[in-house]
Amino acid sequence: MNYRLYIIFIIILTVACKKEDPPVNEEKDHFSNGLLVLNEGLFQQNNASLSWIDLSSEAITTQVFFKQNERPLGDTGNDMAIYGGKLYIVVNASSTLEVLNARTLKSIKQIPLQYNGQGQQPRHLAFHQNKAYVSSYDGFVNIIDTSTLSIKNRIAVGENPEGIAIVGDQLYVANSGGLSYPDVDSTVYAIDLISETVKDTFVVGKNPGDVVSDKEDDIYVVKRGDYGDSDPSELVRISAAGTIMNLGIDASFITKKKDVMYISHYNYDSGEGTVTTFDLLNEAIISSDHINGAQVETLYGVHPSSSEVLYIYDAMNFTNTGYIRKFNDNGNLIQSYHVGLNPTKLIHYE
Amino acid sequence: MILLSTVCNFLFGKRGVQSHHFSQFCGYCMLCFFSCLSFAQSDTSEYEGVTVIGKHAKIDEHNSYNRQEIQALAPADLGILLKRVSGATIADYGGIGSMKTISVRGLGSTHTGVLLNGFPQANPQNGQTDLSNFQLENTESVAVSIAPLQKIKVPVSSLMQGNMIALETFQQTFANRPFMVRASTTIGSFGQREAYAGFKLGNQRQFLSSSAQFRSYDGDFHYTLPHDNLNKERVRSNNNLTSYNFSIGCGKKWRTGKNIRHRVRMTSQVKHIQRSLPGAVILYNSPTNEQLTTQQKQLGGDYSIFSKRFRLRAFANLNQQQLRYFDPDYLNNQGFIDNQYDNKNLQGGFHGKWTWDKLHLHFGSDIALHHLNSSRNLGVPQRSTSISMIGASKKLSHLSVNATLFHHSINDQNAPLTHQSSYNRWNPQFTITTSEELLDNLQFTLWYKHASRAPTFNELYYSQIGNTTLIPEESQQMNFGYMWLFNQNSVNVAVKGNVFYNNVHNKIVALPTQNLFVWSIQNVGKVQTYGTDLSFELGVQISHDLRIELASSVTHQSVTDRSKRSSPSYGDQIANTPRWTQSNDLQIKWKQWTLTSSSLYIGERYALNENNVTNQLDAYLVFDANINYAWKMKKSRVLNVQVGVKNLANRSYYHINYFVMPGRNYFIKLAYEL
Repeated sequence: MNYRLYIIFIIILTVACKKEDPPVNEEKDHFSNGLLVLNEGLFQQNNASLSWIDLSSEAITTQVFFKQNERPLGDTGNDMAIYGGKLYIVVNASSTLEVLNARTLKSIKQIPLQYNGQGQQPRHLAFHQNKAYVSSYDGFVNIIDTSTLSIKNRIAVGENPEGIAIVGDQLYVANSGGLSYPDVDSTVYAIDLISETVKDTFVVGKNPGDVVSDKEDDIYVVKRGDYGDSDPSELVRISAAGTIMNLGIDASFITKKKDVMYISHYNYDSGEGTVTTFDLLNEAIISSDHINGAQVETLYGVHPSSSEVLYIYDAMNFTNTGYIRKFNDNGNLIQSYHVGLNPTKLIHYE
Repeated sequence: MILLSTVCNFLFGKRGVQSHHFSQFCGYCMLCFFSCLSFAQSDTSEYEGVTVIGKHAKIDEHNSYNRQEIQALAPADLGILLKRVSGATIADYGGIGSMKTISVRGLGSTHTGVLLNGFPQANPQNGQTDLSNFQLENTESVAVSIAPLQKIKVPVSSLMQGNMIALETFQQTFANRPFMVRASTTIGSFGQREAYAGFKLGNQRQFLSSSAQFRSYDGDFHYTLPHDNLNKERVRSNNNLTSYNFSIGCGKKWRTGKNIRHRVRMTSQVKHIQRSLPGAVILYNSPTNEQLTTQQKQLGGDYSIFSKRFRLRAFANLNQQQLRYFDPDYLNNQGFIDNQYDNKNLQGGFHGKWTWDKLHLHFGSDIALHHLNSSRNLGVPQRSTSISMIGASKKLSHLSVNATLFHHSINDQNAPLTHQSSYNRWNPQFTITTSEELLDNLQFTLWYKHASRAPTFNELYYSQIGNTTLIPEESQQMNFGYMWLFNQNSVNVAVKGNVFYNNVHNKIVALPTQNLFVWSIQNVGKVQTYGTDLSFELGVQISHDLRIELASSVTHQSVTDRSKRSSPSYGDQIANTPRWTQSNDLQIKWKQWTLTSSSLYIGERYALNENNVTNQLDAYLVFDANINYAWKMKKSRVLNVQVGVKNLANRSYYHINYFVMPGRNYFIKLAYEL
């Protein structure tokens, strides 16, 4: 009987004393020779995250932001870039711009992007002359001083701006209007960064998204249309002279390395992903079948590395954790890295 | 916890992580077992038109609660009460006032039907019932049924559903005395204010009743989040609720001839609910300002006839539900969303039984017409549904056997979207149950149930995501159940258990089809469930003034995703569904005092279908306790004073990821009845 009472006492005592397991402290001092991956996460799950792929050991570390800063990154990470030794991360649903030391990934400042008490839902960012430009779904581009990390101004643009690109002193902003679907926007604004006013408007097609510029000051935009057969997601060029041309190339996301643009497209009906390479100087397709798309479950973007490899974001089914797929120059899969939920951006650390 | 795990590993052997979780669970069970208690079952069953109240458990009723049990547990709404039902998973989006839906044995909320006084509460727009809309002040009984039923008071359409919740209210039961009054008022933490008043005139042959309810809740509770390095206490905002409910009812019984009895009842109800929708807590951002307004009107009536060989119930029910969803901050070109939906449902049918000796022939049919108008681009969906049933049950010397076949026919039409489709399904059900002649006090049952549920209007037509090619979702359920009863002197014991296997295919799920922001509904999911549950009830009359009642139940269920073998989540437990749940209720009655204590353990879950550490949601254990004093006055008047505390340990937790739940809170309730 005494033994039973003892057991009961121990059980009550141990359950009553249950505490949350403390987060494991695996801080790292310096990040180099690896890939930093931004995982978008899922809306309302607060599970945006950073993954680190060590290229020497090929070891993968997840939840890097949490480990370095002991707090979650937030909800829906959309964009990430390094400027002036700082890493900037756009967190859409949390409406924050996280500024980190690019080498230690320690937080320098979290900039709340709120206006009149409402989240602005930032989407993408670009840099020019010590300023960060952040497009936000509330119809504005925030201008942030990268020295003081304070918001200097905000420029009114179209509905739900997405991709942005800078050419000289001009900022190009794609106004998607995606939250008004099917009555979406179809314009790209050109903004003079000196006067911080809209100088020109280009009608490129419904629901524009990613924007890339080239050396010749041409602007390439993905107009996503209605994603259907009647208005497919395609690549549109705004020439330096202001001429708009639909190039008829299937496109979901675009990015560039030097003078080559990488156009990724995923056909949700057939489940096929393609990567097209495009010569920006000759304005011609290099290859429309750059990788073996069958080796990717759900193509969610591409990152051309400084070396001769291509990294593909594989979102799987969007609710399962994704992969970074490494392809060689011949377009064959050579390595897969299991990362977080919906990988969307990658930075190669030398 | 380590010591506890060591003890349990010693007892059960070490089997890695699974064993660790099991040992943790055992610890909770043992703790709860020694610290908590419950009630004996009494149930209300209808026989020959007469309501018989007895103290006997029924194997076809999975869980049931009578008025005394509901009052003792003091749940804020139906969803909170049903958290204790074994095999049920209540998706609770934030406590009092927040939406709650039920999933039983992995079938999904659209497979559960709700019957209010025998009238189906259909909502073809979203297919699920928000259990938080049902307050229980006027409720006489709540029963959850999973097994095939043959009761004629249940419409055919409800018999065919995967499982069913049946509520009987004060307004629709015949009166025990010429004038009955019930009134109560409750004041609680976080701005909880409730009032209820109802009366009934009549007797066992006729009644006229009316009741009104009011509820208001500020919902501004404090909470903390896990992994918050600042351990910052926040306040939930935009979480208020106001609701009004008014109902009337009447009924009459009469006889024609010697053995033919008739009964007719009418009911009408108006409900208005104004609710804020705080949504999930989004880290670092402001809460939303979304609002949902629900207005519901119902008019129903039924007629029953009972004779020695023949029984039949026919009913008709007209229901209108108007919803308005308003988001004043949405970042579209209007700057807001204002969506309005107007659902109209007309349903009628009959269910009869003809008896020859020990053979019973069941038959019946339900017809329903559904119509939806909305401010969104959904077209004008219209649906006509017909469900017919024929079955037979035979009582043999040692067994009762039942076989029933349902025909389910659905016709959908949406002229503006040029959509028209029809589906036909045959759904069989079988039951074998041992009789009391075979085994005294011990009963076994084996049953099989096939059910189908039609795609909802939202799944078919909702702009961007709707898919008009959807077909019905199918479920198969198999169950072996047992029940043992023991009644001797002052001790009552009931032990019930089930082993079950479920299979859902053509499961309707949302998938991204264009990008992460453009999803579509498709018939691609498969879910497999197997599990077991065990419940134990004990009542001991220790002395004339002292009685102790204990109820405890435990469920283990594996509800796994079987949709696509190559998926990383194939074979994983589906989102928000715990493997282990456990509840305990203890009641000590001494003279006019009643002390009630209850606990609920919800095991680890995953926020998404992939069972990894990032998606893992912690298990939680919540204790409630209250004490009631019944001041009995002259002429059978009773004034109850009840004081209670919920979430006694002030546990910070959530069931759905980042839908935070309230911490410790208190209430005081005064209830008068005549």
